[in-house]
Amino acid sequence: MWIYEKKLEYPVKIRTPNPKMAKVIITQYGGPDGELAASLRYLSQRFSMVTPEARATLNDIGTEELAHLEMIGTMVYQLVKGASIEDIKAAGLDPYYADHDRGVYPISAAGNPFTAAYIQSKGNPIVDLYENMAAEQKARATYEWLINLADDPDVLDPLKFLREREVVHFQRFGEALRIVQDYLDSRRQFVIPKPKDTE
Amino acid sequence: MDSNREELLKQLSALDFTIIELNLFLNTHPRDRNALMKYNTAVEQAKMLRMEYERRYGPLTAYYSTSSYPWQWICNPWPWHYSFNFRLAGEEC
Amino acid sequence: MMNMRSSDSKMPEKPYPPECYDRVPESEYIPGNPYLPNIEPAPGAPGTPGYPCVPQETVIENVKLARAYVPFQRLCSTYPAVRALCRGTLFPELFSPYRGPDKKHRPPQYE
Repeated sequence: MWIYEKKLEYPVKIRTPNPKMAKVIITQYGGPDGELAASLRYLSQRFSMVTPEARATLNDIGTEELAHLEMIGTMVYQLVKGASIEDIKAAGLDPYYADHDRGVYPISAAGNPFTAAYIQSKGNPIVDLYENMAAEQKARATYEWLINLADDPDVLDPLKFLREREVVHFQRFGEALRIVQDYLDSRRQFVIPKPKDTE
Repeated sequence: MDSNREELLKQLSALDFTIIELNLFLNTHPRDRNALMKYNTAVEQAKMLRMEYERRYGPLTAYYSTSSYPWQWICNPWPWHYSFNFRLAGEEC
Repeated sequence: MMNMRSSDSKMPEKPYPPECYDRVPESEYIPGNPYLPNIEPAPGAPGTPGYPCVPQETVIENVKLARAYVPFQRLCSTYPAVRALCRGTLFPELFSPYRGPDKKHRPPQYE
């Protein structure tokens, strides 16, 4: 189960509203390679993991992604909070504003609402771990493009933090993959399946 | 705002972050003694720091933390508010 | 009719991997440190005096085709807490800052 602790993993303190940035950063909230997709993916896949290391890795990284989701939501919230209607219109955020005012809603930068089609949970630990490694690379690249688009240090700092987290998560999934690969290799040496075995 | 609160929150956030990092490392390196020692030390330190923060500024969870009267959990600011957060200076990086 | 049981003598006594690793009995813990078992680290292990600490494995054995291998990280040094938070990782070997849209990201130029 989850306990909520009343603080962000990394501080978000944005002085200047910027709806243009909000429009693109929101893609890491509800977009294809965003934190909602990541947390849902890992927390769903963890049920079919083998080996204690892989289960724990999926569980804990999935949990951390929820903390990142909170950070992105906070960034969008702070970026539109003090913005005028003119700025919102100039940023092209008026369609979003029409449906959500200054609220936070899970969509991609292009305006597509979040869908589980962004994630996969194949039930096969090897497949899922490769999917996760790819997902971390996609998230990292997305943060790099967001960093390219930003120039406010208050916005850049959390983006750089989140990008570095993707690098670390990739390493952890890679290690979990090694462990699961070794386990599945060695298991074949131990078990002689019965003729009717459905494995 | 309250620079003491921000400083304390910064130290606590930093310590909690090292705990998260060591947690993930230990998940794939369960037999690393060094890492386990660092993790346990950090957890003990964080317990003290968290106790101090909550004593002064109110509960950080509505699960492990007690509250004075009236119920403090609902009080502002919440983590997504500008005033809740601290800022990391360039030289700390 | 031969009754082939899969639980032959080839099966290990415990299921592999164990559902969780057996905790070391309390009698083996270092006095004053309730959490750490008192077992000597392997000689030449990272952290023993004089050993140059390489923060990753550098040789992977028995690599097979059609697979990806990520080298294991090894713990050497860590950043102090506030620097770790600022940089996004506790481990210097994993710190990999983004240098911006520079020449590395331009598409390759062919003759």
